Amino acid sequence: MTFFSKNLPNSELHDLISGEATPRTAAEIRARRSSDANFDAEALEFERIRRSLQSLPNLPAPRSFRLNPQMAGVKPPKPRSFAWATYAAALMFVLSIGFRTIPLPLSASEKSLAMEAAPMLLEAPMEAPMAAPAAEMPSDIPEAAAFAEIPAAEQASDDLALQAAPMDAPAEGRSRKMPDDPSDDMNEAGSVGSPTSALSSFSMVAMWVSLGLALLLLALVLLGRLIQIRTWRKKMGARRHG
Amino acid sequence: MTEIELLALAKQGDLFAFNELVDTYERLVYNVCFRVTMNKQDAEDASQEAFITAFQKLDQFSGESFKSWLLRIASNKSIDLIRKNRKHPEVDLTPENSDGEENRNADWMIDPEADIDRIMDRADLSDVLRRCIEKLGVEQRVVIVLIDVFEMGYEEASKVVKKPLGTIKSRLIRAREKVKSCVNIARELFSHPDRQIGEEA
Repeated sequence: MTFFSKNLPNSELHDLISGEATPRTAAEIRARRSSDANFDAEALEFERIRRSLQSLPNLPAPRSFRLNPQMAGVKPPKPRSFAWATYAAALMFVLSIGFRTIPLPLSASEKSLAMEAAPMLLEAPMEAPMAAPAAEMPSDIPEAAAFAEIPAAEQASDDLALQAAPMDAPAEGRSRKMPDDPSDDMNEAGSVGSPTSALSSFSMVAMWVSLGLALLLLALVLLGRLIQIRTWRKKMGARRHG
Repeated sequence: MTEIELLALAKQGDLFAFNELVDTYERLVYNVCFRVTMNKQDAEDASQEAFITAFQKLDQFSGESFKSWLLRIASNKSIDLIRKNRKHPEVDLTPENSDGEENRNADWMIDPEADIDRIMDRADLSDVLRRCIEKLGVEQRVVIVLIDVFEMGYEEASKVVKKPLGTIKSRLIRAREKVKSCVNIARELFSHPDRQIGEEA
């Protein structure tokens, strides 16, 4: 005969074995055990099995179950600390392009050459091929100007006086101004040392400096980013801590 | 750093803080998974999946016992894995024997449960218990593992399994009865005059 047949709720015995019985229930079961050998044998059997289960060896973890960023689906943080450098590099790059492409102010001789070439192109298409190469050769500015002035100035002053009043003024002004033009001396001495060439040199230097700075900043940003990711990966690494 | 502080950091996405918790609980989680799945490889997979799920669902952790919450995930992962393996059983075509050598004959293909005499001949008590637990249904197994193997209280086990207290108690009683019967069968086999525990047939 087992304890089940004696109207003892088996759940109470199991509560006692699990350490969940109330003191009153525990006392009742103990009393029953002392008076009923079969019941006591059953209870001992369950206790023995529980003790055996508790004594089962706990296995060591075969490996670390630490998570790495890939497992956890975590992305590295964005390099906010380097945003200023990125913006500065972009600005420098834009500046370098700006220095390279910005139109430089023309010298007086270049201005006169350009102004003289314009009417020739408009009104004397046959002569344009002659004026155009002169205008396209900056190294031959004095010679080209002298060569281009002869037909262009005469024709322009005559034709413009007769036909186009708005164009007259510049032509006359130029013809009056040219003898007193200080740039003539410069043209004679060549373009070396002129404000234009100085500005040109400055823009070239500025371009290279800003381009260099842009590249340097970009390199710093990339280096900083690499260090940041490496540090972060190391911190979040899957290897067991310590 | 306390567990609460680590949890707060981990909730903000700090993997380093969470890995500290992994270090604390990985052995417990692995053993629970192993006792439920009864297979080392499955236990390893279930444990890893449990930690990944725990990290990803940490915002759903309401601040009860982290251990209970983690073991609930681990138990569920183990049960899922058992069910998946039942649907898609994997049979190793070249299993190795206990010495790590490849078996030369096809004995390994015999259902080990059907050859209980042979198992019992070689078994010690922990092997017998392991086999007896293995024969339990998954739900009963989880309960007996949590309460009897890992000495968890009814309340905590109820939280882990997410079942009412009455269900936990009834499952535990049925599981203990089955294990007791199983051990008694083994004892009868061991007490056979021709057989001794730990002796080859």
